[in-house]
Amino acid sequence: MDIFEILKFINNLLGFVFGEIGNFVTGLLGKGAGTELVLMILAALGIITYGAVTMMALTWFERKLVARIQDRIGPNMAGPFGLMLPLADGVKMLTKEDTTPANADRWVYLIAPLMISAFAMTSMAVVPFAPNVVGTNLDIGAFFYIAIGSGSTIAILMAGWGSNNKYSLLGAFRTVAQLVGYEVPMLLNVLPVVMLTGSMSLVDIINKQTNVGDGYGFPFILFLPLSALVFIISGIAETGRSPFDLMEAESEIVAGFHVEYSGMKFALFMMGEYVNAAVVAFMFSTFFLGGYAGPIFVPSYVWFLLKSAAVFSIFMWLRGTLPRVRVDQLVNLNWKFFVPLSIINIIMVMIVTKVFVTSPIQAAANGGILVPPVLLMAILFAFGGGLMLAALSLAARSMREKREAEARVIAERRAVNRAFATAPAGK
Amino acid sequence: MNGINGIPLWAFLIIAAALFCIGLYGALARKNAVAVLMGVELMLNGVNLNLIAFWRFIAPDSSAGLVFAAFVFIVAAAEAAVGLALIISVYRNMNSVDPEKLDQMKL
Amino acid sequence: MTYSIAIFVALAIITIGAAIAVVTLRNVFHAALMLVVAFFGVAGFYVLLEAGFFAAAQVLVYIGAISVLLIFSVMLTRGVFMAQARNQQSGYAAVAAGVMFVLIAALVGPIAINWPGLRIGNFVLPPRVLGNPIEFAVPSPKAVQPDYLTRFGSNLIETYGVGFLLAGVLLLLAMVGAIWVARERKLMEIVLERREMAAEAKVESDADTAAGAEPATPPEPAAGAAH
Repeated sequence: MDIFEILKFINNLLGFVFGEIGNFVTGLLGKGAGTELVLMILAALGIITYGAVTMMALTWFERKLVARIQDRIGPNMAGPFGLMLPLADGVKMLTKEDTTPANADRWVYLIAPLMISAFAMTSMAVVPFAPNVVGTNLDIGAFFYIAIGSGSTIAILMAGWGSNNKYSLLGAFRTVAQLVGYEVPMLLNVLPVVMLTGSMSLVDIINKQTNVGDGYGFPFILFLPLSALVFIISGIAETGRSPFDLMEAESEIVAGFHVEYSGMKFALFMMGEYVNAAVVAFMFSTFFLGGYAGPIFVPSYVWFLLKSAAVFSIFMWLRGTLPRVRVDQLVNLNWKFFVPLSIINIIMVMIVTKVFVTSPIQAAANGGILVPPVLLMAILFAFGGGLMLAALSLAARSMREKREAEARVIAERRAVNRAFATAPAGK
Repeated sequence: MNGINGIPLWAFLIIAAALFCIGLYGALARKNAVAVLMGVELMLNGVNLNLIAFWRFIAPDSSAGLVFAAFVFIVAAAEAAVGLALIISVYRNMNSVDPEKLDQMKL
Repeated sequence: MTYSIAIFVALAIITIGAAIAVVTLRNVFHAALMLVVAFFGVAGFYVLLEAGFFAAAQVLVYIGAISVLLIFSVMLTRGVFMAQARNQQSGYAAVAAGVMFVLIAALVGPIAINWPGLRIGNFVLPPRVLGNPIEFAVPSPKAVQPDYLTRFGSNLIETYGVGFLLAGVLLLLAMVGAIWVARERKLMEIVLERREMAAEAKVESDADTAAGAEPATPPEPAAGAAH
């Protein structure tokens, strides 16, 4: 066989395998409505299993990577290179005592971790892993992801309230303030991607970044660097990872809203958090890095995993390096910096894409300067980069002024104290 | 009569009517102001369901029904925010959220 | 088609059950959670009606934002454990709701049975509007066009642009108003507010006494206001 045939076969391996499974089940049960239902349930189970396995692999990878950043080895006792660590974690979680606090609202307490994991798994249903391998190619895929991401705030309030613990409740309030706040820049920065694509479907977004049809041929991170940056920061804040991990500040507020959870319920919270972070990485690589698209010598699903793993490594790198952000700094950063920046970014992208268009049909219909995609990319990159530099320098200048003002006030007070301390006794 | 996948129009309308009337009962018969607002939200959901059902069956080509439903979403969100702010403010002054205690024009 | 009807029936039971639970539960927090279930049910109905965008918008707006607001105010107003769920006019309210449902069902009935109308001699029901009869018969629904979202977006901004901008202004005013009304007041501000209210009450009670009415009792001060 030709080398290209082999490559094409490997590329379509996933689709081929799933097609064969579908044919097998149809052969077993015959064509009909029941078969479709069974196939859909099998697909959902496959996605959920993939989510759980991803979480297991990510826990191992994270602990090894963060350990190396902190100049230590990390887990290496549970199997070769610590590869049995997720299994050891699972066994530990299963064998811990399953407590329920006294006077806790039993059903609310029990359902909260289930809800968080369920929402996290639901958002995996639209992730495109390979050209025809996607749970469901919704025509509102990006919007679906944002909506499901916002639905999990209720589960956190349930966890905080159901624990019957004041600190838990306060932690839940702060967590919800953080989550609800950071949804806004995330949504506002998915909007330019949707504007450039003309469709909310995730497969369409990936196709627009390739040379298929009237695609641009470049990943959107080159078009919209500022949107990518704000999206990834908001994504990190949405899932509660460092440096925005106020929710589970392990050394400060006694683990926030999941302080009363132990054993398998805590494992479900962890699964929700890791799967959420994994889906943020998947979405970033879909929106801004081109998803499963890439040169043919590596299969598309491997490209997708490589890109998402690279993004997730950046998450872990930030976790191992940066200190925690205080809650008022977090909220200020969101509402006073990210949201105005995102709005200005949207206006800028709107104007540029109306003035410089890439398709002749649109130029004829609405009027505009016809440019090849490369030029549009250069213009948007210039504007986006300029906006980013301007915003960062303004922010840096205002922070420096605030810091210097604070230092001045502290020096003043110190001088006053010193003068008071060395003054002669008696008034 | 045919409908969407076998579901006729009147089924959706009855559900919307039921939601509206249950919300109406909740808005009139509850002792907690926040629960009254929950009834109002149920009513707005019933109205929205009605609008989308009629859009789908009568005029799926035009967007007027969808735009109307979108405006109902927006107004419901705005009204929930202001209503809850008022309830919290009243609670701070009177330490009670019973709407029956608010029977005068001053606190 | 077979499981569309099954899904519809299941969603109907869940939604109506959750709605009834919202208005009858004594524990207001549980009622708020049942409201979330009802919102999910309505989102499912939107999916059945092939308006997927509105299902996602329902989850994002109602469950992601309004329910969070409701639960926050339930927690902040500490009225969770009420003695009773219903007030004195719950009987009348139930009657009102029932009558309302019957009236709406009376309007929906002719749609269900494809009523052609009533003619007795010159009397025609339903009456004619501008010469055209009001049709109760519902035609078979056309298919939704695949680009309904694009046209919805362009219509929203082109045809209904004024309403869209007004909606934005409404949201801005609602945000500013809600933040201002529920803002945290410093202690001095609360003391001055109280003094003003007491002065107003005294002026009014003086006027009432002068007119011969009995003085009104001052409102009880709130214990948890100073935070």
